[in-house]
Amino acid sequence: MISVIAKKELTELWRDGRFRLLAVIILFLLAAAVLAGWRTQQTASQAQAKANEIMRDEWVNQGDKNPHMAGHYGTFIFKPVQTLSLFDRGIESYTGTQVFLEAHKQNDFNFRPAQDKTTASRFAELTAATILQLLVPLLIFLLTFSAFTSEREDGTLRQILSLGLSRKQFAFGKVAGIFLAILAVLIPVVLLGSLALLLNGNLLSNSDLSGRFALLSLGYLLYFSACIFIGLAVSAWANSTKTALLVLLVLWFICTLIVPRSATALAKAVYPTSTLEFQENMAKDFEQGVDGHNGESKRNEEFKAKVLADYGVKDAKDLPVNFDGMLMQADEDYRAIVMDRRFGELWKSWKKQGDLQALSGILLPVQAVRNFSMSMSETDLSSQQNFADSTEQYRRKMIKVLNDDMTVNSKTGDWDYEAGRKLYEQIPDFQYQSLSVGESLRNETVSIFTLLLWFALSFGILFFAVSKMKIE
Amino acid sequence: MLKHIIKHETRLLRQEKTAWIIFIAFIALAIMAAFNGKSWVKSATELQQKAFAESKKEYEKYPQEFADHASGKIVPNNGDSGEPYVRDIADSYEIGFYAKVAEAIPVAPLWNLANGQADLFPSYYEINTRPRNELITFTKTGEFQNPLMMLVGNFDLSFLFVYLYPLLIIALCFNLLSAERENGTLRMLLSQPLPLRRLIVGKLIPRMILLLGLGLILPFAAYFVSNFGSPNPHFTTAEIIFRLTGWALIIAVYGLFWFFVCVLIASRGKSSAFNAIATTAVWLFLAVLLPSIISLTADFLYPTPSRATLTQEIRRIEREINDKQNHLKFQEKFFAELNTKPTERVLEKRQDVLNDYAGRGEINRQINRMENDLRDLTDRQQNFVRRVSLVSPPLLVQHLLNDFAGTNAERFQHFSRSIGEFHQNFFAYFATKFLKDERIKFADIENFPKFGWQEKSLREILTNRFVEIFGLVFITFIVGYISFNRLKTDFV
Repeated sequence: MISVIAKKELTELWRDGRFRLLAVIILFLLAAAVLAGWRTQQTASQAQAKANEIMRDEWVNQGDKNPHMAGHYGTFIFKPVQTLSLFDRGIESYTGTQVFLEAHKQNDFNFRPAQDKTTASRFAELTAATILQLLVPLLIFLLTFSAFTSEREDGTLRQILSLGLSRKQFAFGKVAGIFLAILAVLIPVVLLGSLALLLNGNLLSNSDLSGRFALLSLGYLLYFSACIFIGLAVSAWANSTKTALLVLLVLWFICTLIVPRSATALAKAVYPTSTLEFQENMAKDFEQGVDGHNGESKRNEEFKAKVLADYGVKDAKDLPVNFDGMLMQADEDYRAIVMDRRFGELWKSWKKQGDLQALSGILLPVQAVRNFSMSMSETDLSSQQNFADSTEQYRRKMIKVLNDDMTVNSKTGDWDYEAGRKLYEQIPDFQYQSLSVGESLRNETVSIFTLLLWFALSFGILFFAVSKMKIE
Repeated sequence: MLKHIIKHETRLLRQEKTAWIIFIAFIALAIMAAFNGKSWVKSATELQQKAFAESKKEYEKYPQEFADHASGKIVPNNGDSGEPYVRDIADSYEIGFYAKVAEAIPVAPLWNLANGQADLFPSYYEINTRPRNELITFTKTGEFQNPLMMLVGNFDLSFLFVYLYPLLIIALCFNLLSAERENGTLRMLLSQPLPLRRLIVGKLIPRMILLLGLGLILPFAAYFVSNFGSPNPHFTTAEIIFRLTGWALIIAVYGLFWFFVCVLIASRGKSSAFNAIATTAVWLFLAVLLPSIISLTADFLYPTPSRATLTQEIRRIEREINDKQNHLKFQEKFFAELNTKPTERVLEKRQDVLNDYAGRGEINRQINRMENDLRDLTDRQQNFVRRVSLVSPPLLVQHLLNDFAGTNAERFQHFSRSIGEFHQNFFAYFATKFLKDERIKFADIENFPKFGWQEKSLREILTNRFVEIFGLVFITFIVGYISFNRLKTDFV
């Protein structure tokens, strides 16, 4: 009986010109978004990979110079473009694409892509994720708003229920019919997306990527199911088709427009971050520590005294090693403590802002699916933090190798000491280890919980609404 | 008759609880948006003031330092002998290198109402004679912003008016005629000597008074709420009032556009449900889809080159200037650019500094060229989007609101360009002094190059945006004309 209802629903939807038109539009937009995303991801990924190769080549071939000068010469790391960003660009437009690694400093990432774009891109980037998060729920609401109300208004509801069909079975049938209609729109896009990922060469061989893709699809399935349940619940509850439509449209506006930005504003108000405070705290902390370029600081004198005592000499020139190299490294070690603390505070505040914003998903699931989608696509804040931490750890190792070489292979005051390619090659090429699927899932416990909660809750609401549904 | 309709509609509107809830919610959101704006302005102002304070602290050291140098109390030491470094304040190279001149873009007049593109660009720079890539291209003076918050977007007044204001109008107007028809009263009304158009006008007027009035008053109220006690010192009251008036009028025309869209949909004579879906579809298309499509098209037609290429090129130039074989070549270019030849003493005794200066001159020149090329591309992209935004009133209005608020990308790019020119002049001043082997005197500080910020006047904004403003008015007029033309009596 359920299959009969589902078939009837699907047939009516197919005959409805509005569904065909909307489905074609959404299919077209999704296909265009996937293709555009694939092209952008390919181009950017190749450009970034090539740039990293060039920087590596430049690093090892920079010529002979004092190791500390090599530390100041530094190198650039260009952020890799994740494969699934073809689908969900997440925060990529608002994070810098490159970072300069140099001695003494942890730099922020430069060049946000959004800076080179126009105001139009701030409205909404046309990605597959945006369409799935914003437009497909609208399509679902437009398919479901009259599911029960039109049956009641046409007088067919009583007839159908008099056939011995239970209300639950009737609801299941409606759910199945609409679900199949939505799948008809989405399956081509999933296939197109899979093809794009196959063309990248690693969907089948990369279990992390295929796992993420599968989880992404599952997340969206849960989201769309919740939307179908909610749409049908409203239709069952509403007195008229008009009321059902208005309620669902208002719900859609609130979910997609008002709640995300309000949640952002609330998150910033509850957990404010201040660049001024960050800079001042950092400067104050640095003043109290060792300074590799300021010989007169108190901490420098203390450090020097300790080193001289350790080596049992009275003058730095008598040391068997280069005191300047040791001082540089002590400066780096101290700054590392400061930067870990201050950047750690900043990331923590941002995470708290993100978590508070994610909690709004408990009210409405669009925020939950948005966060989950970004996490699976590796375009979320956790992935950015992971990359920033990786580049910083690499920078510290790089500078340590240089400082240690200067310490061991030259004497104090010998700024003419030079090293060359052999030293630079000791520092391995930067290899980025992205978060595993498990780590991404652990970072998104709130979103996953919210999606599952909404799936269950909306399921319950639907059957409650259907059980109380008026027949006339 | 019209008076009666207006009176009746006003009475009905007063009794419409849902309408009042939405109306009050909108005002509450506007107040929240105003306070958000206040916090951004405060944050940017604090950063700028800190930069100015540090710059001032540096300048305040000069009198004593100059005096100490003159009296011999401080003896410069370049640190080569192992002694601590002590700068020579009168040396043009050193004073230029260690200067800390902070220059900021004046806080935009209506930044608290429209954050626009302000969160993407630095609002101040610190200038000295170091190379341009260190100070400007790879500047470290931006705000640390949570990219997740930037992705979602700012909750400012312009967001409310561009996105939610049309929905407010649609909520009150989607069933202008369909409700009467569905209740069976339309036929009755039109059987009076009452033309359909007069009926529509009578229904619209109370709604327009309410909502267009909101659009005209709210910007002033929000500005007052968020600026109370902290007026913007960079703009006169008259200018701010002009800009607020411009803002309010643009919103009013935009509101009128949406009223006419509702009338156009209503003129099809369909049901309330159809009208709600149709007007929502129009809003979705104009406010969400079309701007995204325009952005995608602009990216496709005018792709900006990868910034990785810019960075690689800068590194290549750095290697080139550090190559000893190129030193003479760059020195010649440097002398030609400044139209100054070095003295014999500079050539003999200060080759290292000369090469450093010449290298910096080359890198400044090349980066200036590359950034100009990049800007040309982004300008073309922006101009394309501006032209095409005539088909998307929400995008058009967002541009205009940002223009009047002073938070459009063009203003920040103009600031960046001006800073580049200032850096060029600052560098040239000290470089010329160096080549001539002239030492800096305390009295010279007054003649140090000054940053000349040229704010675009309101007249310039209106002239540059005339086509867009006219376009908005024209589109509104066309939609209004078509919608009223379609209203026929047999529509019942």
